[in-house]
Amino acid sequence: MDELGTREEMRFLRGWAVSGDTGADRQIAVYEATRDLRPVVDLLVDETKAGLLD
Amino acid sequence: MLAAGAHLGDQIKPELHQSVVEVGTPVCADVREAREAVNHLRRSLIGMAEKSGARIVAAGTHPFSHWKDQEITDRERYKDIVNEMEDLARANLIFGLHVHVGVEDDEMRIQIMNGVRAFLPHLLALSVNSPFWCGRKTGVKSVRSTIFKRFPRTQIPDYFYSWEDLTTSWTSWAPGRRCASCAAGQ
Repeated sequence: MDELGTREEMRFLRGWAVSGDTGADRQIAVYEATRDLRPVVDLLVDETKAGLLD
Repeated sequence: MLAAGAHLGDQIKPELHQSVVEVGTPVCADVREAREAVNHLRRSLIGMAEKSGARIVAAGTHPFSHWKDQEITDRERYKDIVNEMEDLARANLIFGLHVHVGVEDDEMRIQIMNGVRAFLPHLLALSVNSPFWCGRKTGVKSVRSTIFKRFPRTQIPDYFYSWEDLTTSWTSWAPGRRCASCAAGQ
């Protein structure tokens, strides 16, 4: 991993796999909490920006 | 909006549907370069979109926009695709991330492709991001992948014994000689 410079990505993927928290699950959770798809789009807009504009 | 992105050159392109935009990084030597390039493009695109009163979403599908309502980009290539494929093309309102990995050696390229086949379901399981389609909860977490199945050459590729096996048994398609390509859908 160090040779390829992917240690950070692999750590992220391992955590992702363990948590099972996918983008689809987050979309479904917002919909089930609001019964409205517009907040789901807001979630996607925010996640698309995440980490980019700091 | 694309005019505003002229400074990005061919790193920003229209897609068949006017509501879709494609960005592509230059060839990157490693993950760090790829991450920086993607961040730069996505940041630029979000800024341009916001000036136009639009918002950018990276996902597998839009939760409620219907493909029937989408305008087709006014380019000959896209008109030809729609004329040939009709609703198959119009309904292909899906988005995704493609990672192209260049491998110079022909035989190494084939063996890497064969090895990656086993991991594609895992990549899909991690990247699912399209539970909604045309305003409906679909019951699957990646409706994108079920929609894309309707297109040829879109699922896990066959196993090939060698570069020659691929080029002789699948003559209608072959990966570029310098580029084996793996597309991970959302």
